[in-house]
Amino acid sequence: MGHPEHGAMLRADGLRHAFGHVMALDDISFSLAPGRTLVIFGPNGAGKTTLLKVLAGLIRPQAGCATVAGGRGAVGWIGHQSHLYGHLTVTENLLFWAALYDVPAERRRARAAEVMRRLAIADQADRRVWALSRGLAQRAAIAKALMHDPQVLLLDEPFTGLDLAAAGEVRALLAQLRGAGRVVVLATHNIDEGIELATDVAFQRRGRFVHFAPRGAHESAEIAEAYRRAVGAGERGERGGRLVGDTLRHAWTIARKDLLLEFRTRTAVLSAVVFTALVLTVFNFGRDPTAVATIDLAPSILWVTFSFAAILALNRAFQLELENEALEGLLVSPISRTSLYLGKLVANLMFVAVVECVALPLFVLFFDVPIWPVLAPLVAVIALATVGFVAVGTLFSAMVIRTRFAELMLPVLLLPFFIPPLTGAVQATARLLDGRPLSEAAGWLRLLAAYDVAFLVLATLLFPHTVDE
Amino acid sequence: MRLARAGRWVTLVGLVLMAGVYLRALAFTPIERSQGPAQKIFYLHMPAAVWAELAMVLVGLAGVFYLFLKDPRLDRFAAASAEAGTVFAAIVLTTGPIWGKPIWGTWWTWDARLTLTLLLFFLYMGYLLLRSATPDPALRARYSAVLGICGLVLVPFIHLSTVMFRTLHPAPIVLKPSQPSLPGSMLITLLFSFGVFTLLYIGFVMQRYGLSLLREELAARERAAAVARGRGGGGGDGGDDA
Repeated sequence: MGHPEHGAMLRADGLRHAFGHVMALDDISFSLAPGRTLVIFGPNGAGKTTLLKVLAGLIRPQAGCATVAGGRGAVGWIGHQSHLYGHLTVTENLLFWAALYDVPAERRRARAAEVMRRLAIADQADRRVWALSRGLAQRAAIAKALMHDPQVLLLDEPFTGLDLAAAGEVRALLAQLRGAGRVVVLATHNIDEGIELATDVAFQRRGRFVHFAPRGAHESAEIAEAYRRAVGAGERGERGGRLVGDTLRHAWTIARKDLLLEFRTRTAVLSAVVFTALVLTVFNFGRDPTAVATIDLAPSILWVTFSFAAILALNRAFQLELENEALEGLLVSPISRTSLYLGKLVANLMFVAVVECVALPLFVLFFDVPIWPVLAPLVAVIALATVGFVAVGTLFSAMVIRTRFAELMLPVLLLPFFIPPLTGAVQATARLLDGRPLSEAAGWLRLLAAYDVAFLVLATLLFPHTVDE
Repeated sequence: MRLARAGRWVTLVGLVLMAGVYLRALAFTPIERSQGPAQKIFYLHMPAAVWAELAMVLVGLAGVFYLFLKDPRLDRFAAASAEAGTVFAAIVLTTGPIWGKPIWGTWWTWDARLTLTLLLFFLYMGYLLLRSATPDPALRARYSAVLGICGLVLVPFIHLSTVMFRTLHPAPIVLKPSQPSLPGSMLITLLFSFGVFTLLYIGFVMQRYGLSLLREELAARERAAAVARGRGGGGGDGGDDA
């Protein structure tokens, strides 16, 4: 998504995209100048959503390219999902998305108040999204899309779930935006929706525009009749956050949001902590202190506990986005994929660190292992090993959410990758608990450090391939 | 179909030559002094171990090229190579304990190299499971490439851990910085076996590649038939609007 020439805000050139043998987009070209509103009508399966996703930069077309003046940061997207986090309030959601779209911090609250007022949801500002009715949630989703004052607004069936009054308010808002020079592309299967907003009308059928023309002075009924007759018969987005500072800031925004969600729900950390306590208890029942000295088993027990608890924590990283139907929204936003990966990585590291902070004292309590004299080097070993397997785990957790049996798939994929850091960590821990100096484990520490660097770099590079369509 | 058939012939030639390897190993190669006849399994075990790892390297390299070129042939090759690698890893894991029982006195021990070959086998299983759990072909190819590349980077770490971890395994006698310490006749048998395993790898990959082509063709026909049925029934156009 680059910059279209000749004053057009949005341009599509020869877009083609097929899913298997089914053409979703077949040679679609058009351009829209400021103030134009294109309404695309088409039956279910015509390829309207695919077209909007290509324009939003969510799908890379197999041929042709879509360009938006201002890049992805200039696009506002309302898809089939709300992209709102149920456990955050409406205001918290709007502030989160505003931060991702680089709305200046001092303007975010005022902007949130303004869009909520325009969408008549100001009285819902402090309610959590899961408590909203479908219509109110849809209005909040539209508010989210407007937070960064986008130049191009892409709307996929935006009136779904709205009552007549709310739909009228949204139409009035879109008319205002058109008057302010914004480009709007609206896709719907219902000819009665949004027709009065259109400056241009397209009918899409089996991936093709079978009609594309300015609306002119045609009445809605004429267009509806024309529609019935007609239908009856790359460039990738400019990635925001090019600077390291932007990347890290966006990453922190995502990590903070994940932490806030976890603080609200406390499901992942609590279940991982309980699981950790259970594993340590089971190990305790199974050991025979007269047969094998505890100190010999201790490093393995500690690291098996850590790794299983980590898998639990990692499994929820992208599941969270799926549950809140927000992943698509994150991918459309102008943050780089690197920011998204690093944000998730930081959040996962913190979750796993919390679990380890609980597990370590429990381990000392249950097994009476003297870790206090070697606490500092032991923490360093734990940190080194944890970074490595969380780096891989974060990458794989993004991948498995779109597979069948996602919860089972993550441990199956991860465990072989856990072994080198676990082997290194167990060896280093054994030497420390044995009272030997850390220098004796220098080789293992180098292995852990090399693993961390290799998989942090690799996972950052490969991450876009796991989330892009 | 032609490729799968050709692959079947290559595999058949490989299996016949494998009989030759064992004839040479049993009748024309001296018995190793310390290990006795049990050492003969080495001619099967070692080339299988090399190809189990090489196949993963090729899966990873195919993944790297796939992410750049998006050529489905690379994905088909990677999948075929992973299946062949799984077979070779299974051979290593089967022949290892058969050798280990008379030499170490136990079928299985948590020796580092044995354990890490088991991990390589799990890595292959994970790769194949990921493929079967990802219904969308384009997504499947991309995820497989990502996992294959990660596997490629993991293999050196596995090796490094093997070197650093305590092991009961014999030290390398062929692939080492100095001259191979294997007697000439044993080395020839080993190289012969390695050549046969290479042929088997090629045969397996040709067959699996050819079969995946056939499978894709069948899926395309089924989709086309479904679309035709949908049109005939006056239903929607079957396009993707999601």
